[in-house]
Amino acid sequence: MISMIRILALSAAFAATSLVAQPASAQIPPELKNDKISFAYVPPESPKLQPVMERLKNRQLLEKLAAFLSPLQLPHAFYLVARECKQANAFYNPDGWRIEICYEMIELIERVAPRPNNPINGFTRDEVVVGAFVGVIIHEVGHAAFDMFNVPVFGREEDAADEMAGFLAVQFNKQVAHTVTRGFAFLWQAFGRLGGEPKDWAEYSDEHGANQQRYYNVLCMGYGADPQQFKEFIDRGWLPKERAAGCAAEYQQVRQAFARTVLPFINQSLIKKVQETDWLK
Amino acid sequence: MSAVMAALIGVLVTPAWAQQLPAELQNPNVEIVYKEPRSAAFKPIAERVKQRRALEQLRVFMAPLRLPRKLTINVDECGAPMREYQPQGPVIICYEVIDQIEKIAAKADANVRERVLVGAFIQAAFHETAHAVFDMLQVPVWGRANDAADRLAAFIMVNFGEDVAMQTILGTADFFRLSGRTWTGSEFAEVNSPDAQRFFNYLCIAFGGAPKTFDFLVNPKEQDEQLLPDRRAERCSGEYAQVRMAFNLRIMPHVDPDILVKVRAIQWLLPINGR
Repeated sequence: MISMIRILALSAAFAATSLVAQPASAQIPPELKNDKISFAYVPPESPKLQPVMERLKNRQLLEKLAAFLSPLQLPHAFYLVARECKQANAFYNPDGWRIEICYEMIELIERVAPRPNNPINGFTRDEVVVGAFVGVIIHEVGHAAFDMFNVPVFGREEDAADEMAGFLAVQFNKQVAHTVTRGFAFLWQAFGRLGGEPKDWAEYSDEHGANQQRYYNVLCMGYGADPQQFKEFIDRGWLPKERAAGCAAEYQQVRQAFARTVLPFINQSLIKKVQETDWLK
Repeated sequence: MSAVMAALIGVLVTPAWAQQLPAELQNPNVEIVYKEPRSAAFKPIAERVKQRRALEQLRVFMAPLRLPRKLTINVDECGAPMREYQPQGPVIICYEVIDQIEKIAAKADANVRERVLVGAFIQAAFHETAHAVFDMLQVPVWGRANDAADRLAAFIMVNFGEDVAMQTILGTADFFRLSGRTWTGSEFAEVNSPDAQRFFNYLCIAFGGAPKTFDFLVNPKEQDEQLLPDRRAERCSGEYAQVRMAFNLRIMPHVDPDILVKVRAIQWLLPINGR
């Protein structure tokens, strides 16, 4: 059993340690608290993952995620867990009401990201590491929200969760929109290159779309939200014009679905504070 | 092609009930129009569809649905197999897609030809109508809209008894399989999903909703292939439950339960020979 640590019980300890262990982190606004959300960094068995856990702790990843999610009016407890999984992934576990972020997934993102000072197609290492990571986490937050708020999901849930990530990415300032949209798109492109295109009929049977589709879906959500800001997706020929033409409507579809199924569960005064906070700093 | 036509007319027209439709089984808000095709090549198709009373059947099928305003359903020439649904409608079933279905069916083994014709036509009609239902009832749509329309169509297909489920789901799956190819490059940017994904999406909702009827998809007889891989199959009951929940939350409140019972009681399709 994973032992869960409640955020409130630990807040005093964090106040002391964060002074030394929080180099370039954004201050977490103290009012962004939610009693139902708890988190835990589970120490990994594998020594090579120890530094990954340390980095996440130093950057207060789960503290920030808990604060970021604090406006959610949850029907029950909700847990955020960083742990070793023996696979590079992240999950939402509906039986345990918890999001599980694997240390291996962070390693993988760091591995596929461009080398420092050596951007690929204008993608820098920092924006990919941060943006892809945030995208993956919000994807899981999407699954959690669909489950906990009983959201009607008519389309494929995996695409819906990507829509949640792409949609939330553009609800903050332009810097966040840029980093998360591009970083998340880069991740699918990189996975697509690593894994190749699905070839056989049976390879299309997965409940996830192909990495290549997910790449275009993320680009489309960003472009649909703000064609000015993401004009480069067209100029560089990343997003074909035929798809781009419908992206504003695709974005509106998601915006309306969000407004009708998730927004009612969000505390409006807290979400303002969340939007004002510079999470990626 | 004449064998195909014969099969088509023979299966889709079910005169026994078609001539005695109770007046209440009409949706007053659904208007149907068979548009004259401009191309001579589609004229025989237009005749067949009209003869089969395909749109009349669809209108009866939609009788339980309380729509807030008029919805027009057309069969029309589109210049492409699909014309994307625009808010306010109309729903358009293109002569081109019917043509495509007939051509694919002609390639199919004789013993499944009927179900391809019937199933794929109903799939096209349900899919296009699903977009209109989302629009008119202001249904929130998470997940790509075309997949959402497919999942709703598949859900309806498996809720009208075993005969309808078998013909429509398997006919749809055959159609995708026979017309489908895998994708490459920027094809992955398309707003539609590839036929291969749609094939598995329909089978998954079917297996999830009617696991006994569709058990052979996962546990085939020795000589047959397994159409739905285990890895996907184990998720299908959850996928089906998700669509059912979404349906119950967002569409069922607009359905008249008494009329629904009457529509479900209709023998919609003739059992397929040799099944």
